[in-house]
Amino acid sequence: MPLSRRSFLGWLGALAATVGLRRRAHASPTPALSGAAEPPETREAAAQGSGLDVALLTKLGEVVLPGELGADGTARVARGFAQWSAGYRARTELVHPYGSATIRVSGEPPAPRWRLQLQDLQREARARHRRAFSALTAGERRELVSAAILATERGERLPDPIAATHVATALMAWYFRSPEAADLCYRARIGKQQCRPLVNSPREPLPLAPRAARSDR
Amino acid sequence: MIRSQRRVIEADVCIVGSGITAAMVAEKLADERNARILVVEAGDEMPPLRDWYGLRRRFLDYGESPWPRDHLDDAGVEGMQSRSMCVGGLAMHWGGVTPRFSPEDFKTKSLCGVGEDWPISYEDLDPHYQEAEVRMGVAGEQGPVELDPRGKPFPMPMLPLSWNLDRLKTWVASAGIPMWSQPSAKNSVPYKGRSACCRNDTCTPICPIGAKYSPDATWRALRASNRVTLLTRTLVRRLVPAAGSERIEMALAVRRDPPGETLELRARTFVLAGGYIWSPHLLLLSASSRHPNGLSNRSGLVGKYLTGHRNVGGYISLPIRLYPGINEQHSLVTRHFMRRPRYDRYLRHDLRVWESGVGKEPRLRDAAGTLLMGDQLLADWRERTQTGTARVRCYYDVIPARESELTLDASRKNVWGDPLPKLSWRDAAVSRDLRAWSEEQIRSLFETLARAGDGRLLRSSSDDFQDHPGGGCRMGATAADGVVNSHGRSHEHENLFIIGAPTMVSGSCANGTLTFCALALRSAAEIGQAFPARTTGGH
Repeated sequence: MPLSRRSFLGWLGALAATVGLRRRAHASPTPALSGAAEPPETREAAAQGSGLDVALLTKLGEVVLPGELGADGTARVARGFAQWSAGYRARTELVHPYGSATIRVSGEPPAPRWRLQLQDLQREARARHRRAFSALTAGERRELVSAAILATERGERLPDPIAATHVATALMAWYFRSPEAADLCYRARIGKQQCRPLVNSPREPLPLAPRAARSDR
Repeated sequence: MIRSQRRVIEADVCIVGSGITAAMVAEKLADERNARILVVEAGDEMPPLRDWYGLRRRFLDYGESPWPRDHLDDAGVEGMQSRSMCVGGLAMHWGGVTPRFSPEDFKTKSLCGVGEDWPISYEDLDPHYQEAEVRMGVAGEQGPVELDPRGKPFPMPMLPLSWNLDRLKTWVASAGIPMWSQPSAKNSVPYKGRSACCRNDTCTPICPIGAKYSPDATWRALRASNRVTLLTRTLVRRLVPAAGSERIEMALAVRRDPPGETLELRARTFVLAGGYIWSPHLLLLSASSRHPNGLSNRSGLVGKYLTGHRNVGGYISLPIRLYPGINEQHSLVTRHFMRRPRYDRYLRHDLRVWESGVGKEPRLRDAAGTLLMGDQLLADWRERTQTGTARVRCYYDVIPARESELTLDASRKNVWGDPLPKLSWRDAAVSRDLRAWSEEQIRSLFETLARAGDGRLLRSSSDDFQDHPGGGCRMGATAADGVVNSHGRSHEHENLFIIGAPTMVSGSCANGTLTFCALALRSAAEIGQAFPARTTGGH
């Protein structure tokens, strides 16, 4: 598909809206991803504000997120996703598309439909395996989640998480389009969209410190 | 009807609009002249700098506008680039890219036999370019002198080439094209109390630390030192000439807050700084029995010759390891195709190259359509990011037709009952005839670049709209061929100036904002002649 300047900038805006960046100047970790910027009780309250079951999201995350995150990392991402969902505001003016006079506003919050989809996964787990989704093996969960995604998502691209038709895709998109995921992919400390000294930009990004792969799947 | 009960506000200079050219003119006048300066802005104040990190966060997280309330609901115009109408104007969310036009832009007719020559030369504008670069703070690299003439060095060192751009520069050089760091109004070092850029990489739409110049910085300083009065939420609806004279006597404005008080703004000099839409629009709205076609419009040129440039963009996959995100909004630039004739027909364009993640994003399905999740998705992503993508784009010069125009649309009115403008863009015959050929030449250039790097052009496309629009009150040496003279002074109303973008004769093939500012500063020098010099020194 051709990508014009207008659509490029639109894409940039859409991408920016999905990367889950929550950084402040001179603070490198993403609070929602790292959980570093707020006390645990605040994070839990924010995550609960979405009404999403973080424990269930974590079990979902174990099959749709990279194993290299480890158990703690997966739980952190699940919590961050729920926290991000809770922060969504409907009917708010969106960034102007480049070269257009159109004013757009945000749609209805996605969390309610995602809650229902998590419940569907639970129901499906019980129907097929007579166990809760969380009690299934990783392979069983992967099979259920794949079927759910295949039934709803048609495209090749990871969608904007807000527009994702399934909570599993939304969780994937929210994480994989984040600066943290880019660093993991490149195994380098790029630190995209973080405040970084200009003087360092000519240097090749430093390698990421190796992390032990998760062993539970 | 405008009511007869009016509050009168008097000033020496009344500037209509508070965008980037207004900020430049107000600052120069305040620095150099003893004059009471009144600035009138129809839109609202924008949030203060301390809020910008939070606004950026909402933009990144949810795509929300970081500039809420930056437009008037009843001022939408078909074909306009942006709805911005606020303190700081469009430049609150500009990209901060500041190339100059090239000497050829000012004499396309003499040199190339197309379009019209400007009544000024590049050399005339050079000191004003320099002044604009100093006032806003431009970081730049001197390109090869034969391609990139300038009277003085940039006021700040260039933005360094990122690791990615350095590799891309080597690639383009292999095709025989010199490139260098794009001049930008982004601080490479702390400048005028603003921080150095730290690569937050959201220059458009918001630099969260103010390292990119935006006009609010100027207004903040001028207002803090009581050197200007800025009236917000005040819409100027008419300019009124004095009885028996062609001097503008007053501007009639309305406060947007209830009860909609009408103001009579009286000044010795009036400056229209409303850009390519609202400046000609106000002249047309100001029609009367004495001036049935609007003010400064005996030539019939108000609203005519809207200009800009189109672009062709593309993405080239290259066998180079790149790390998208090091400094995505910074680019390489060359003027190689703006200067010497490179083609046998009229085509001048710039070329810019950026790092890009296009084609390298994580994806939900692989090429065979297999669903990817978790480790599989990451492995697929890693495999595809062993090579890189360059974004390439050329703006090319479009010669406007006279009928490329802004007119009043009687069918659409604002809440005050005034007709809104209507924009119709038309190329001159030469540009219309050359459009397909021009875009094909640029695509060929992209193919050449791809081959030079053993890469592949992934895709290319062009936008239909014209970027960095200007015109509508073009300058001309005489009243027959321009609305204003080369200083932006109306040919018909000696105390009326129209500044910046509307006065351009043609739109070149490079981002226009620095040129808008240079033209405005040239106007400011002329405007200032009517007022005594400050004896206490400038800021």
